[in-house]
Amino acid sequence: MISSFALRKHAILAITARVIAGVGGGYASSALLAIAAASALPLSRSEAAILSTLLALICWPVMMILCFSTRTAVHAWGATVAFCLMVGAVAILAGWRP
Amino acid sequence: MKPTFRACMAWLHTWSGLTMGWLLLAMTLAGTLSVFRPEINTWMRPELRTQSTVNPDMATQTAIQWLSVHAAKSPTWYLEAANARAPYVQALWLEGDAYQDHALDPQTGSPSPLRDTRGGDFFYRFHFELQLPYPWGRLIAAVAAMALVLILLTGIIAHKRIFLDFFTFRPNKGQRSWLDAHNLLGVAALPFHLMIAFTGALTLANMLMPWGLTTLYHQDFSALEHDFNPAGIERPASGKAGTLAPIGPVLADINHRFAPNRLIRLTISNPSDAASVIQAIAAPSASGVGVETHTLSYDGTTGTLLAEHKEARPIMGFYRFLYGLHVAHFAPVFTRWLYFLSGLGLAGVIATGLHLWTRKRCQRHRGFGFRLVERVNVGMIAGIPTAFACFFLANRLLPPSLATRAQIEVQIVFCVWAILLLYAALRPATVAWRDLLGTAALACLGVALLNGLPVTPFQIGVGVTALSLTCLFSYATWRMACAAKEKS
Repeated sequence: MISSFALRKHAILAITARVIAGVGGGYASSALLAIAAASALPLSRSEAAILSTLLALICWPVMMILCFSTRTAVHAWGATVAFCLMVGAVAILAGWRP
Repeated sequence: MKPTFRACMAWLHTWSGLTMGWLLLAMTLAGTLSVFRPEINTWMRPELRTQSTVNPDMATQTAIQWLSVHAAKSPTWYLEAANARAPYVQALWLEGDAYQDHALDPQTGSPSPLRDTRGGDFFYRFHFELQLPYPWGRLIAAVAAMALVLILLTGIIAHKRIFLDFFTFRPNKGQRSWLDAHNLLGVAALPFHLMIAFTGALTLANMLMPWGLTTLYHQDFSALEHDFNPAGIERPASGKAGTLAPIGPVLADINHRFAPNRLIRLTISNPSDAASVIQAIAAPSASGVGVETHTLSYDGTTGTLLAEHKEARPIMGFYRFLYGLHVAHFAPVFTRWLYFLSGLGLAGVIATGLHLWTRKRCQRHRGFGFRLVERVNVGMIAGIPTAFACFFLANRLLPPSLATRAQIEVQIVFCVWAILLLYAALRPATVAWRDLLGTAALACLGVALLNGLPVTPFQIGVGVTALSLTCLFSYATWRMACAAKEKS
């Protein structure tokens, strides 16, 4: 009985972790992608602003799906953080400063 | 055991659908009605002599004459030009600290002969502002739009065989039938649903995802404004009084430059100052879906052209195209009905989805969560259409000269909605379904009756829609009455 309760608790924790990774981490990923694309795209200001926003809007639901398709919640977080670091690095290389 | 990808997506579909479903249902129904915003605006002002054809330029001229007498102090006038769908000028101006938003009679230019109502604008505003103060309504609406994209994508994955099962409908099989209906409605207009959800999020992207803009523009709002509206002239008031040039020749030039499209919006800044500016925006058309692709600016006192912009930037043009797809100003009448029916279909997908959640769980232990969802479902699915129908009823039943009439109409919608939610919370679900669906049928029938003999195209549209919904809700009431009888 106790073990099943512990299992349940573990499952709830894992799902909460995925939801936070998808909603919060997914939003952070999209925002950083927008910043990276806006900084790096060789377009005029307005064109780069629009395109980066469009990409970010597609990115969020995709990240959300990704966070629920990995094997474990830890993997979901790992993928989100890795993506954030990657696009963050692109943004900084393209001259963006937080 | 590791759950499959599809099972994970089904979980995500179920729970994101449940948490956002009620809000999305309200937004979808309001948005669907907004497709016919000008038509509803006209229907809600029966004082307009819609039989006589209105010359849009004459209507604009009379409106400007009236505004220069009665709203000379307003820093800006925003005018929506009259057209066949809405044969009057809709004007927005500042009076003291309060914005005034009124339909102006095409013959006199004054708002007084027309009853005070929000008209179709109520549904339009509610669709993305949810009757909440700025920016909260828009933010919540933007998140809901994004959630709808996610729900649709996960739904495609979760409901395996939706495309194969598209031609399958098994009536009278309980949960199975609801699932078939959910899939059928979902697949029938799936590209529309995806498009409307994504473009909906895009229209509010500056609230939801401003990071690309802020990275490039920082706080430089005038550069941002200039890039998005290159023909916009920002000119501060000079402090010297000035009078507007005769608007007739300006309108003639606007029509000439916009041809074959027409003028949709006229913005006049500092109308009684020597530095006044008139800006004109062309309406989208069947040949050009995008909004604000052609704009003109004129010097207000001389009437000379200051700037012209035709959108030629590819990505900006694409953005305006997506925006135009959402607001559907381009759509001719057949396309508008397709938008309307697809929107109703989306509302149907959401409603059947919410109902499925309870049908799947009704055999198990019924906890507090189940009862809550079951009852809120009744109050929302049957309550929102009833409350919206009551807006149409209130428009015809309240005395036309009543003070603060427009606000009372809106209050009636939310009072009815609240009462129905409360009723659904207090009664057993089957009884509440029967009663509230019956109320919805009655409300729709009431709209059809108050509509009168369908003479104008506006009356025909409202009459047909109201009667169809009456039939739908009556059938649903009958089915629920049978279910309630069986139970007792």
